[in-house]
Amino acid sequence: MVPVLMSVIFITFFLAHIAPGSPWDKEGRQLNDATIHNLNIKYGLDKPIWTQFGLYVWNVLHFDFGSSYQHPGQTVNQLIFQSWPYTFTLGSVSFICILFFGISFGVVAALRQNTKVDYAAVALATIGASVPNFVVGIFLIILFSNFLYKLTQATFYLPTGGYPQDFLHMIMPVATLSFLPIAFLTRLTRSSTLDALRQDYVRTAWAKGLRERLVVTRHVLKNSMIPVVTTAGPLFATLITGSVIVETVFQIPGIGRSFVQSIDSRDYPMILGTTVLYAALVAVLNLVVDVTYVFIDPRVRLT
Amino acid sequence: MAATAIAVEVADWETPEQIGLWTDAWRRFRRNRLAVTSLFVVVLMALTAIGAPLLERIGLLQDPTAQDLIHTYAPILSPHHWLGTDELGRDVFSKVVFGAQVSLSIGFLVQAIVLVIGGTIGLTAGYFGGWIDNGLMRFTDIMYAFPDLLFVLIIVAALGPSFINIFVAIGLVSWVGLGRLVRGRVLSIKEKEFVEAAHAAGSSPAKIILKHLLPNSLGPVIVVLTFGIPAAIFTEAVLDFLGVGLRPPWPSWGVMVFDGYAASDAYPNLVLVPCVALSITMLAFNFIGDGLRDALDPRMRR
Repeated sequence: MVPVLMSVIFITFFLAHIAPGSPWDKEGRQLNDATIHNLNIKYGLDKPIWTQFGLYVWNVLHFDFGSSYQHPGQTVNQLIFQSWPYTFTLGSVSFICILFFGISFGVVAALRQNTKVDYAAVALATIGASVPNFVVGIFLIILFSNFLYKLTQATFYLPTGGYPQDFLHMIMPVATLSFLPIAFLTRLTRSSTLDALRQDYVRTAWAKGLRERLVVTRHVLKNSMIPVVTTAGPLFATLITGSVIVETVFQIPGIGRSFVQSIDSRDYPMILGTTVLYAALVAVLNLVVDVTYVFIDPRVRLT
Repeated sequence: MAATAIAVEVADWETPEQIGLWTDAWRRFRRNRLAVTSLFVVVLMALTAIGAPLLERIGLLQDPTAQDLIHTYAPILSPHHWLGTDELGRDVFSKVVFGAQVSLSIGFLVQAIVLVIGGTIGLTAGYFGGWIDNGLMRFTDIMYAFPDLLFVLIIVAALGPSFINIFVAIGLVSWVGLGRLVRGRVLSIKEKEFVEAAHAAGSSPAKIILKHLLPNSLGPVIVVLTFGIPAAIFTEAVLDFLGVGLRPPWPSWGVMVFDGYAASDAYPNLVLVPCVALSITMLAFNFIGDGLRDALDPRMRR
C-alpha cells in the first residue's frame, strides 16, 4: 500500500508539473515578472523539481498538503475540509441506496428467474450500465425541474434536519450517482444468487422443509454475498469518478468539482492533495475488503 | 483403408458437422437478435460518420460549424434542420453525425492502444513469470489504484486538450483490465500440453507467444475490447462535458452537451439530442459485447 501511494504521488506530481502553463498565467490577471518571481519563491516553485518533490512528500507525511494557488491564503487541507461534507453526504447516502436497491433487485430477480420481474431487473441493469451518468442527471433535471414540477432545483445542501426538504433535494443527485452502480450490483447479485440457489446445501435446506425466508437468508444470501463484498473497492472508485460528474451536473461544491476547477487553474497542491486522498481511500478500502474476505469466506487464506 | 472408410461413414451418420470456434461463435452470435440489431446500428452509424463529408457535398448534411445567425434555436422538425439548430444556427443533425466521427474513432483507437499495452504487458508477465511478472504486476497494481477519470483528467491537463492527447490519455489508463486478463489466460494456457510440445520442438518464445498463446486468449480479449469501446466513448464525452476535453466548435457529443447545458431550461433538445446519440451508441456496443461474450466463452454455453 505504501509503495502504491508513493508511486501515485510521484506520477501525479510530475504529470502536474510538466503541464504547460503556470498557475500564475490566469486570464485577466497580468502579473509582472517580479511578482511572478516572488510568488514562485513563496510557493517554492523556484527550487529544483526534485527538491520540490522531496519537500512535498515530507509535508504529506505530516498531513500537510500545502497551500492552494487558486484561493490564496487557504491551505489545501482547509479546502478539502470545506468540500468534504458535501461529497461525503452524497457518497454515503448513495452507497446505502446502491447496496439496498442493488442487492434487493438482484436477489428478487434471481428468486423469480425468467419471470417478468426478472426481465425488468435485467433490462434495468443493462440500461443502467450503458447510459452515462451525466446523461441520467441531465434527463432528470430536464424532466423534473423543467417540466413536471420543481421537485428539486439543481441545488444541494447539507442536511439541516428539516424532514421533507432534506430528503427531496437529495433525490436527483443520489439517483444519478447510484444508477450505474445499482445496475452493476443487480447483475452481480443476480448471478451469484442463481449460483448459490443451485448448490447442494440449498437443496438440502429445502428438503429439510425450511421456510423460504430461512433458506434464502441463512443459506443462499450468506454465500451469494461473497462476490458482492469484493466489489466494494471498485464500487467506491466508481463513486469517486461519479461524484466528479454529478457534482458538476448539479453544481455541488464538493471535492470532485473543486478537483476539476483546480485542474483548470493548474492548482498543483490541490490536484495532488485530492488525488492522493482518493488513492489512499481506495487503497485502504481494498485492504479492508481483503481482510473482510478472509472472515466471510474461510476458504480464502491471507498469504 | 477399410478402417478409414468405416470411420468416414460413421462420421457421416453420427458426429455433428465439424465447425471451428469462429464459425460456431458467429452462429451463436447471429441467434442473439439484440446483438445483431446493435451491430447493424453500429455499422450504419460508422458508415454515416465515415461518409459524412460525402453526404455534406451532396447536400444531405450541412457544415457542422457553419453559422446561420438568422435561424438560431430552430425547434425540432424545422424544414431545413430536422433536429433544429443551436445558439449559433448550426444544424444539430449535422453536428451529431460529425460528432459520431469523434466518438467512434476514440472508441476504436483507444482499444488499439489498450491492446498493444495491455497485451504486451499481460503476455510478457504471464509467459516469463518470475521477477518480470512480479515487477509488471506491481506496476499494474499501481495503475489500478488511480481512480480512472482523475488520472485521465490529470494527463489531459498535462498534455493539453487535443484529439490525439485525449485518446492517448484514455488508452494509457484503460489497459489495466486487459493486461490482467491476458496474464491470467497465458498462465493457464502455458501449462497445456501443446505449448510443452512446441517447446520440445524448439520453438522460440516469440513464436510460442504469437502462434499459441495469443490465438488461444483471443476470445476473452475481443470481449473485453468490445466493452472497452463504450467506456472510452463515455470518458471522452465526460472530459468534454467537464470542460477539460475538446473545445467548441469541435462537433463532439460531449462538447454539444457542455454547450447546450447552460440553456437546457429553454432548449432541452440541444442537450437531449447528443445525450440520446451517446446512450444509443453505448447501449449498442454493450449489447454487442454481451452477444460476443455468450458466443465466445465456452463456459457460458448451456
